[in-house]
Amino acid sequence: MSQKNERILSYLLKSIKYPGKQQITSCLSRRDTSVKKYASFKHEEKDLTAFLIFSTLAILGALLTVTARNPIYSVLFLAMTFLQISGLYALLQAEFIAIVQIAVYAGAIMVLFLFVVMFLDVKEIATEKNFHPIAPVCLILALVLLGEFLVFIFYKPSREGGLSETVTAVGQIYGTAENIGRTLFSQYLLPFEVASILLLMAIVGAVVLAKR
Amino acid sequence: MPYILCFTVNRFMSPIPLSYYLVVSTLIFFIGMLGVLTRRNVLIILMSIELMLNAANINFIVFSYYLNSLRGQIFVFFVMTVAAAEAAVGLAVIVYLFRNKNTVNDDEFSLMRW
Repeated sequence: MSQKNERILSYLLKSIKYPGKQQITSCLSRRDTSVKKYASFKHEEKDLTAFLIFSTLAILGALLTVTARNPIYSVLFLAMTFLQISGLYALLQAEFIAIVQIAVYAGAIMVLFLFVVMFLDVKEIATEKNFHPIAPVCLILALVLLGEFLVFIFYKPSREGGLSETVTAVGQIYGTAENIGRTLFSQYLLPFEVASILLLMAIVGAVVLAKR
Repeated sequence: MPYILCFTVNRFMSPIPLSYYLVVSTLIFFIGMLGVLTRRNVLIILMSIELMLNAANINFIVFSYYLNSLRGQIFVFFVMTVAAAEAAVGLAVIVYLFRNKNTVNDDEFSLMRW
């Protein structure tokens, strides 16, 4: 049975190109083909499930962030959204960025927000009217922009061109700390140093503003 | 027969399409923009800006994955730096405004309006 499967698969690989090619060939070259093949199938399904969970929770968290009455809930939902987005990064093989997302966004920035929300008087904020009176107009304008974005994503100028649903790829580059570090300290050294100046200016600005 | 088999294998084996991620990031950007436009609380406006930055970051990472290039991830690194600086300064400004006006409602901050 497994030999037959192998033959069919190798025939397919010869005849038609498709994105998962490398994975299957690597599986075929190993000894226990059937198990490996099955594992790789399961892996892709798991990927899709994880993507659906992460993206749904991220969008839900974003919606709750914007609509929550109490800013503290808003901050917590925003932290949840950032964690889900970090999961999406991990799915896309950007490990370093995923960890930095958790450390910087869900850690540092969210703590800063939470600190300021608690520092200010929350009760007074929560009882006020939350939305602008012109909110429906803004909603319509934002919906128009959303429609434009979706048209850009799904519009196909020709039969081959455009970002259709069929554009897929197997990522071969892993965003590990080593790879990112090598690129950052060789090719992007000047922007890195400029970023440090930017952070210094932000520190000075924050201290000056807070001390007034 | 081989074609059908290939099609099914293709559907199962192919990774998540690019457009799925783009739709997710578009929706998050849309929600963030809605927050900036409609909310009155300055803190929540700042959080919505962070949401929009994150949506842009998702796009960078997705294209870096699909183009097999590390540049998108480097750019996300810098965007995170800028976002951290922006959050720190923005929150300092909000604290300063709250001390002067005793509110975080953005209708009250009309000092520079013509």
